[in-house]
Amino acid sequence: MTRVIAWYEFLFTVKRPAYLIVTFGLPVFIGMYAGFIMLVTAGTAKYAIEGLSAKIGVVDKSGLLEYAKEFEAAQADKATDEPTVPAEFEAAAKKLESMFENIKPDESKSFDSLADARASLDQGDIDIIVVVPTGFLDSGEMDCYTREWKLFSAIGAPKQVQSRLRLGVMQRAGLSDSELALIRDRESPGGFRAIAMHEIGPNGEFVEVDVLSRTLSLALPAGIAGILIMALLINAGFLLAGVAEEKENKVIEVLLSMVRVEELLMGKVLGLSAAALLQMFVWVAMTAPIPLITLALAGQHFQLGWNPAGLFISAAFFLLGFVFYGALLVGLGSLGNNVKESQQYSVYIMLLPVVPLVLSMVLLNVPNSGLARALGWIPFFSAPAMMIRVATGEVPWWDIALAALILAASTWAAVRFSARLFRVGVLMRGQTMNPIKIARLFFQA
Amino acid sequence: MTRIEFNHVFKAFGGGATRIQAVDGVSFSAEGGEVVGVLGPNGAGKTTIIRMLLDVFRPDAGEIRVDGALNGNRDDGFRRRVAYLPEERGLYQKRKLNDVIEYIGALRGMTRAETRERAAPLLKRFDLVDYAKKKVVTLSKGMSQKLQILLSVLHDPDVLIFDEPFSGLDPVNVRLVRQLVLEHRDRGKLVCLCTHMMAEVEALCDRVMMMHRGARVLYGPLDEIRRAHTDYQVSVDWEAQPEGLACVARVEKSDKLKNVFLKEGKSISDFMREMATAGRSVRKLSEGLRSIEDVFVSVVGGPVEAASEDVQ
Repeated sequence: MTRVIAWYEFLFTVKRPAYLIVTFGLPVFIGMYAGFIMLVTAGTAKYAIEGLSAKIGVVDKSGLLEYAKEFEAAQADKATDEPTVPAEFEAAAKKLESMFENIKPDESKSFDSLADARASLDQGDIDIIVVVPTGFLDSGEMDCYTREWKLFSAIGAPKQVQSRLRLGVMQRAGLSDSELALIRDRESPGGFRAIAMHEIGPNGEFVEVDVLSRTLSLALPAGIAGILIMALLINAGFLLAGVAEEKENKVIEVLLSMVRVEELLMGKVLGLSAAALLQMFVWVAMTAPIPLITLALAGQHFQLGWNPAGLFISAAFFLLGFVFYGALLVGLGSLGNNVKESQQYSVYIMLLPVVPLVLSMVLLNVPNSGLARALGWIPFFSAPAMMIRVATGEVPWWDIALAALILAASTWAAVRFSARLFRVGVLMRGQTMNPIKIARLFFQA
Repeated sequence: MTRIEFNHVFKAFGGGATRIQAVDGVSFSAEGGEVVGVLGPNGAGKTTIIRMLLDVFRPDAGEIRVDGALNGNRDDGFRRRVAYLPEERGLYQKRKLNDVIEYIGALRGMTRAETRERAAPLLKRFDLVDYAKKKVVTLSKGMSQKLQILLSVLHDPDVLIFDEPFSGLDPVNVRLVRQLVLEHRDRGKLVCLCTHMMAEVEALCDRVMMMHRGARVLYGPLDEIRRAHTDYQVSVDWEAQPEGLACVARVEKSDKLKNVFLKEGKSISDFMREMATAGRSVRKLSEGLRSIEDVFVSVVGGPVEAASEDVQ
């Protein structure tokens, strides 16, 4: 009978127009929203870039910029020559050029004194004045002057000057032009090749770490644990609404004359959970490929190293956690007189699975710590905690088995507990609950 | 034929000062082929009795037997044989009639084809064919009531538990439900009727159990109960003049009749003879028998009210 109830609950839920609109409409809405944000950001970025290319006046008392100019003049003479960038960095250099093509080349004006620069500022020839003091190398301090300070208005100018000051320092130190050109190019954002990370391999020798793949492999389970929590929240909405609707409609008493309370409860949990999972699946299927495709298009190579056993274990914890929370929600939800009241009873429960996610860095980096193990064994945290821990591949099998056993037993207990609450809860009307009342009803059911 | 027995069943709710003994050692039995009325004022424990029979609640003490089997009401087989129409009725308002019928049929263990086959004549009988593809919310209160009665008998149950089945129905549909109850009784089904409509109790019930404050206060065949609570021998119409006859001890007036108390050793024949001799006409004369409503009021000591009984 549980199967029949689950099937019809699922069917009635997924056929609802509101369900279909949310399931397929939300990703589209989020896509449009993200697109809007990106457009706005792009517009703001353009503004920021324009800010970066504000007309700068420089009063250089340190003399370092003269060296930079010397280098730049030499580079200008070689403009038609072969590129100084070695072949291996050519692609990166081109990418950089395309990324920063909106930034104007250095057009800063030099002034002998702040008063001269001020006159130019007043006339509108420049927007900002950067004064490099004589003791710049000792103090590293500069002064900026502008007509009126605005948020982000004075970020770009000092950095541009600082960058050229570094070139000046190196020119003065006697680095060759090609070395300076390399440094200049690599200083640009993204100009440096990713740092190659190594770790001690199985043979005791250093082996290179595929940082992106490893990061994704660890982030993925944390992401899926996040999806579990999101799915739980969606499911909570379905379950509470489902119970409240039948309670308000007074259908529940007729249903209880036909089926066992446990069957009704499990049918609801499974059917509505399936509807929630289907919704999550659609959302993930519609949105998850986007970041992966973006990385692939950006030329980043990665491999998701998640073994099948880990995947299976995580799936098992996901489903157990889902039923555990679903059963508790239905039981507690049945105590409310309407959806709003039911939500109040269940809100505390729904905060618990978020805890492992907040502590995911600890779980990923020290998966066998006392805290990590405790979270894995406490049923309220178990599912998300174990999904994250298992992804590290460092959790011993007995630990996983023990956590699974505790969660399975707790799920069974949750179903029994909720069935008792449900038995009395769904038939009560107009009463406000408190823990003492709940406990009393629990034992009288 | 199904037989149900309650033996010294107790059920209480609450604790301490708020403890309420909802059912207090109630015993009764009912079996197929009869209509049993479960009567009582609000809070008497009727709904708790029904909920225990349906295994929504478990008794604190005592036993419930179905066909002799202890706790036979907990079997899935019993659930499939029961129809329950609660007083506080509800339906899935946003679903179509056909969908609701299909779902209830599935819960009763019927295939889709069986459900359709069983539902078709019932839809016709209850005049709901035109609404089959419409949402429940479009139904009037009376139609909604009929749909729920239809759903309750969809699976041809052996035990029908109807809590106030006549409320919200017009006289035509009251007659329809009355016929339905009697048909099922005649087919050997057991019908438990909880109602405050005493006219329906008198018209339909073979036996009654009256409850008050959780306890059984009356139980037995309807006529025997009425007779046992009747201390006068004859009822005549309001215009008849039995006063002053030699065989008459005293006369009491009720709403529409005069109840005549005869002197010891006198019979109805003596009364009729004396009326004829005295030339007094009688348009209506019947054996003295109190109405069940009179019995109810005299036992319970309060008016008959129609209201729901919630879990305490």
